[in-house]
Amino acid sequence: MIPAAFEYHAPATLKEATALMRRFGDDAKVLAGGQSLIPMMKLRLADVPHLIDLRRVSGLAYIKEQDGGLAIGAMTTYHELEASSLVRRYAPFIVEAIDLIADVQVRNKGTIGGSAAHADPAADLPALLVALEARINTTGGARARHIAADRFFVDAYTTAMGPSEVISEITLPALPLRTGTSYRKFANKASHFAVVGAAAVVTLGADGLCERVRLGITGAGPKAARSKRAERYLEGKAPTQENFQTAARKAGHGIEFLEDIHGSAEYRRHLTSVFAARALAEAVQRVAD
Amino acid sequence: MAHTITLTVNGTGYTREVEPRLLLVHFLREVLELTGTHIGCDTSQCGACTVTMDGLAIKSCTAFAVQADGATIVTIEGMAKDGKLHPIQEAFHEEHGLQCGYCTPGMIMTLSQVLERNPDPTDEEIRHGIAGNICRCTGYENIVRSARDAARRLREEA
Amino acid sequence: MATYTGQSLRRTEDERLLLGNGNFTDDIVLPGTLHAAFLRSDRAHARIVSIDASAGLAIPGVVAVMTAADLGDVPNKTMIVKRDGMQEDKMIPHPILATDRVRYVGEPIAIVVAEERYLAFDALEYIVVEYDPLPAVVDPRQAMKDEVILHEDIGTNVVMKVLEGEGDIEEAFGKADHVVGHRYDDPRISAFPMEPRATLASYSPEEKRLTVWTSSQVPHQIKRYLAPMLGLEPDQVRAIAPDVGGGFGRKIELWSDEVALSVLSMKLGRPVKWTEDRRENLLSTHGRAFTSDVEAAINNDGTILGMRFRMIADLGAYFYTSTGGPLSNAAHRVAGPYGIPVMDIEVLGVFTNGPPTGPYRGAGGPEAALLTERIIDVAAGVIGMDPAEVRRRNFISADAFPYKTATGYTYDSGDYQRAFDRALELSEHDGWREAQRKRGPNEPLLGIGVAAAVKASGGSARTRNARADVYVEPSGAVKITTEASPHGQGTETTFAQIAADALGVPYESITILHSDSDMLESGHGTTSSRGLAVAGSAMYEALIQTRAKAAAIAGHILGCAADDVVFEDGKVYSASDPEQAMAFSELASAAYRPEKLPEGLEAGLDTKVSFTLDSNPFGFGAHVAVVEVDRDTGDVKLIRYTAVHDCGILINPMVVEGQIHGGLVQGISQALYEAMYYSPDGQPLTASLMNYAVPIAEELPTLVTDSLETPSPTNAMGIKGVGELPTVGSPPAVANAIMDALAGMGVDNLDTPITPERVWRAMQAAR
Repeated sequence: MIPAAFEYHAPATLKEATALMRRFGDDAKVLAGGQSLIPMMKLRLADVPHLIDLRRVSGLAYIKEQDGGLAIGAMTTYHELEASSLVRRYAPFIVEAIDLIADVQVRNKGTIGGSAAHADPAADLPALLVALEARINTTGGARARHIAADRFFVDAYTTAMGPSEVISEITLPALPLRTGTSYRKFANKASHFAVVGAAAVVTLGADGLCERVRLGITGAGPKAARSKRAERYLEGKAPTQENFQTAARKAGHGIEFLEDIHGSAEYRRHLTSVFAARALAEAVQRVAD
Repeated sequence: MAHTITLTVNGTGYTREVEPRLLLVHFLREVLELTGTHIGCDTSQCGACTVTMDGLAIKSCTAFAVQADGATIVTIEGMAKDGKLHPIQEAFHEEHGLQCGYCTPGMIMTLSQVLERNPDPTDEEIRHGIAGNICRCTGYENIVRSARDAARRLREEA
Repeated sequence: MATYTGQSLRRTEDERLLLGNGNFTDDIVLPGTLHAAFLRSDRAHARIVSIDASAGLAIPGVVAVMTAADLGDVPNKTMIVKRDGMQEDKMIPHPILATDRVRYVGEPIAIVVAEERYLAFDALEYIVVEYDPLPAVVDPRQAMKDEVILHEDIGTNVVMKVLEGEGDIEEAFGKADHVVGHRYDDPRISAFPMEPRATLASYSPEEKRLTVWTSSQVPHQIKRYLAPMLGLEPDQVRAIAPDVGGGFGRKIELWSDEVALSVLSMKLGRPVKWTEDRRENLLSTHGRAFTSDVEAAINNDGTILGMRFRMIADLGAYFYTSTGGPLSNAAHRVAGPYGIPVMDIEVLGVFTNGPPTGPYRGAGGPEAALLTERIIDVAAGVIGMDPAEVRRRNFISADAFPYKTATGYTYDSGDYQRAFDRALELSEHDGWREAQRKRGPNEPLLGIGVAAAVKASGGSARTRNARADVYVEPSGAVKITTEASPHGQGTETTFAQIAADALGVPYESITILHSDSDMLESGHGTTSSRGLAVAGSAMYEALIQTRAKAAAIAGHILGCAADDVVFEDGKVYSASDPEQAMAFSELASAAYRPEKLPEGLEAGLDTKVSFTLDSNPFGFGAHVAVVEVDRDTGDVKLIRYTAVHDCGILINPMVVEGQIHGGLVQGISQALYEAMYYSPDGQPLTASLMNYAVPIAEELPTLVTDSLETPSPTNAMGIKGVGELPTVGSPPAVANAIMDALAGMGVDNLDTPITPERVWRAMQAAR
C-alpha cells in the first residue's frame, strides 16, 4: 500500500495555503493530521497531485473561551481536546466522545478541522458538531464564511466548502444553564467507526420539561445531521423514558440509511432509535448531576 | 521533487533527501535501517508501526517522512539505555507479553505514551489504551499483565 | 532430577525482539536487491484475453515484468500433497501465474520487478489485462450443482470425498428417544498473522546456489519442493525462515511467490524481495469454510447413541500444498471427548471462485467441534438436561484409554471428567446459573456456554517423523539443531530446558538452532501441534543417545559402569562413589580425544537421529464462557472466560499458558467477529481491517486458565501438543453461551460469527 507520487507544499500561512489551493484546484488536497487522508492515498482512493500540508501554519491549534462558548483552531488535535479542561467544563460529552474515536495514536495526530473537512459518514465528531450547533469558519473563498454544522455536512465525504476553502476555526456556542450532554455509539467491530452514533444536548426548563433538545446522528446515513423531528417532539415535554423512546423513534426520519456488512439499513434504523433514546436519557440524567 | 528533511531519531541527528510520498515507516526501516518498527495492516488499525514523534505516539505508516522535518522521533531501538532494557521491555519479558514479537515494538511504544499519561491504570484503562494495537498471539492477557507490571516499575523508578 | 523442566523460565527469544533487533524477512537487506509486486486478478472468474505490460516496463527503474509465458521450463504449478479423499485426476494445482484464466480475486497474474519498492507498486497500474468475464460461484452448495464449473476438463466442482465412521446410524436414530439436527455455516476466516508473508530470493551464479528467506513455518519443505521445480539439486537450494511473525497454519504452503521470486533471481542474477501487504494477505487463503448438517440421537438419560455429519468444505479455486487437509481431520475429530458408539460422516470438497482454503489453527478440529459441541447443546435442550451434565454422561472415562473412537482415532490418555469438573468449579459455573435465574427483565440477557474438545498433536504419519542433531562441543557447550521452525512458540527456551535436564548442564550452555535447511537434511517444521510432541521427542531421543555415549566415556574415565553415571549441575559422577566426578566440560573435551575413550568408541559427542512418533498424543480442553446480550441491539459482551487444559507434562507452564491465551482468543474471535465476506459475484467485502474484524484488547475479558497433567504414554517425556488445542473449544463455548442467553426467547440457531445484527434479527423473528 503505497501512495502515488505527489508534490508536497508546506506553506507558512493560511493565505499561502489558499493561494496554492486556488492555483491547483481539484488537483490539491489539504493535509491536516492525515489520519483519514493518508490511508486513502495509500489505498489510492484519493488522487492527490498536490498535497498542501498545514503543519507549518502557526496559530491554528488553540482552544479558547469565546462568548460563553469555545473557539477551536482547525489544527487542534483530538488529544488536545480530550486533555483540555476548558472543553471538559464546556461539555463533557466531547471528551467522552473523543475517547471513543480510533485510538491513542490517531487522537494524537487527528484534528477537529481535518475530521470535519473529511466528512466521513461514520465519524463521531460531526454528530457532536451538529448537536452543538457549531459553526465551521472557513477562509480562502470569496469571503470568510461561518457555516452552520448542519449545513456544512452535505453528503458522504462532501461538505459545503468550495474548492479553495479551508477550515480555520470551529466555534461552539454557549450552552444554556441546566443543559446535559451525551454521546452514545454503536461501533463497527472492525474499524470501530460509528455504525450509529447519537449526540444529545438537552436543556431542561425551570418547569423541569425539556426546553431545548438537539440530537445529532452519525453513521446511520451518508452524513451527520440533526434529527429535527425528534427534537421538536421532545421539546416542551417531560423528560420521561416513554417520551425519549417516542422521540427516538422519530430520530431516523429523513435519513437515507446506509447498508453494508456491519449493518443493514433496517438494523441501522433500529440502532438509531436505540442510541438516540440512550443519549437523550443520559443527557437529561446529567442535568441533574 | 525530493525534499530535504532534518530530524533526530533515537538521539541521533539525520539529514536526508526524501520523496514526498515516502512514508515515515519506510523512511525509518529502509533509509535509516531501523527495522524494529513493523508494518502490519496498511490501514492504520494494527499499530505495529507505532513510534513517538515529539513525545506523541503515532502510527508511522500514516505519516509522511516530510512531515517529520524538524521532529524528534523515538523508535523501539531507542528505548533501552546503556544496554539495559526499558522498564516496559523488562515487564514484557517478565510477564511473557510477547510470542512472535512482531506487534511488540508498537505495543511498547504505545504503552510508553499510555503510562506517561496514566501512571497507575486499571486493567480496563490499559485495554482501552492499546485499542490501536493488534496482537494475534497473546490474546492480550499477558500484554495487560506486562503493562500493569511496567506501570509499577515506572512508578518505582520515578 | 528435573532442574528446568516444569519451570516457567523467561524466554531467551525475548531480548532481540524487545530491543527491535528481531530479524524478519522484510528486515533483511542484501546489496542490489530488487523489489517485486504482484498484479492480481480483480475478477472472480474470467478468461484472460491479453496482458500488455509494455507501459509498465517503460517506467524507468522497472527491470522486468514476468507473466506465465516467461516461466520457461519451470512448471506453472505449486505442490500438492495428496490427502485422504483426494482423487489424482482432480488435484488441480495452483498456478505460479495465471495463464489464460483467473478463478478468484487476488490470483497472481504478473510480477513486476523494480529497483525500488514504490516503483514496482506504481508499475502495476500500467499493466493492462483484458478480461472476458465468466460467471462466478462462491457458495459451495451452489457450486455443487456444477452450473458454473471452474475446471472444465474434470467436469465437476466436487473433487474430494471423505467417508468415516462406524456402526449403523439408521438403527441408532431408530431406537433413540430423540433425534435433533441443524445446519451450521462456518465461514472463511483469515489466520491473520501480524507479519504478513514475505520472501527474499537470492541466486548466486558463482556458487550456483539459491537462498530463499521466507516467512514460513516449513523452511525444509520449501527447499524440498522448490529444488525440483527449478531444475536444481536439493543441495543447490537453501531455505531460511528467519524470525517469523506468527503463522497459525497460514505459512505452511509452497507459495507461488516463492517460486516466482526464485525464477526471477536466477534470471536476473540479483536478489528479489517481496513483502505481502495486508490486502494481499487477507485475499490469499482462508481457513474453515465449511457448511454442514449434523444430527444427533440422544436418549432421555443423556446418552448419545450416534451422530451423522454431512459436511461440505469450500476448497477455493485450486489446491495449494495443504488445501484439503482439514477435511479428513474434521471427519476424525467430530468424535470429540465422547464415547459415541455410532458415527456416520461424509465430507465433500468443492471448488469455488475463492482463494484456496487450508489449515488454520486446529485444521479441521474447530470445524468438527463447532458441530459436535453445538448439537449436544441442542440435544440437551430437547431432553431438558443441563448441557454440562450431558457432556459428563458421555465422556470417555479415565480408565478406558487407549480408546478407539468410532471415527478411527485412538486416544492415548486423559481424564476428561476431572478437567471438565475443574473448569466448572473454576468458572463458578453453578453460581452463574444461579445469577442467570435471578436476572431481571431490564438487565442484559445472561448466557453460560460450555464446550469440551480433544486435539491430536503431531499430524499424520508423514509428519510424525522428525530429525534432530545434538552436538556437544569440546568446551561442553551444547548445540542442538531441531527441525521445528518456531514463530512465537518459545521453542528456543523450552527445548533448552529439556536439553539442560537431559545432560545435567546449565540451561545457558544450550543453543537451539532451527529454521535453516542447511542445518538439517529435512524436516516438517512447526505445524499440526508437532513442535514439541514430534520435533521435541526427536531431540529428546538424540539427547538420550548422546547421554548414553557420554556415560560410557565417563564410566571409562571414572572407573565405574556407564549406568552408574549421573549427570547433574554441570558435573558427571558415579552414583555409587560421588567422589569419582568430573566437570561436564572435561568429559566433553575427553570425548574428542581418542586416547581417553574406551575401545571401540568413536571420538566425538554428537548424535543425529531420525525419530518417529508411532502414534499421536491427544490433549483435552474444557471451556466455560459467560456472555451478556444487549436486549435492544443484540450486541454480545463476553464477560468471563475459563478454560482448563490437559496437554500432558508441562515443560514451561508460562509458555503453555501464553499459547492457551492466544488460542482461546482466536477461537473467541471466530465465534464473534471474523468472516471473509464475498459478494455473490465473488468480490471480496472484507479486504482490510476496516472491514475484517479482529478483536482488540478492550473487547476481551480476563482469561482464567488452569492445567492438569495426564502424561502421554506415546512418548518418553509424557508430553502432548498445545498450540491448536485451545482454538478447538472456544468457538462452540462462546456460541453455546449466546444460544443459552437466547434460549428463553425461542431462538434456536445462529451461525458464526454471531454478530449483533444476527442476534437482533433472531430476537425479532422469535418475538
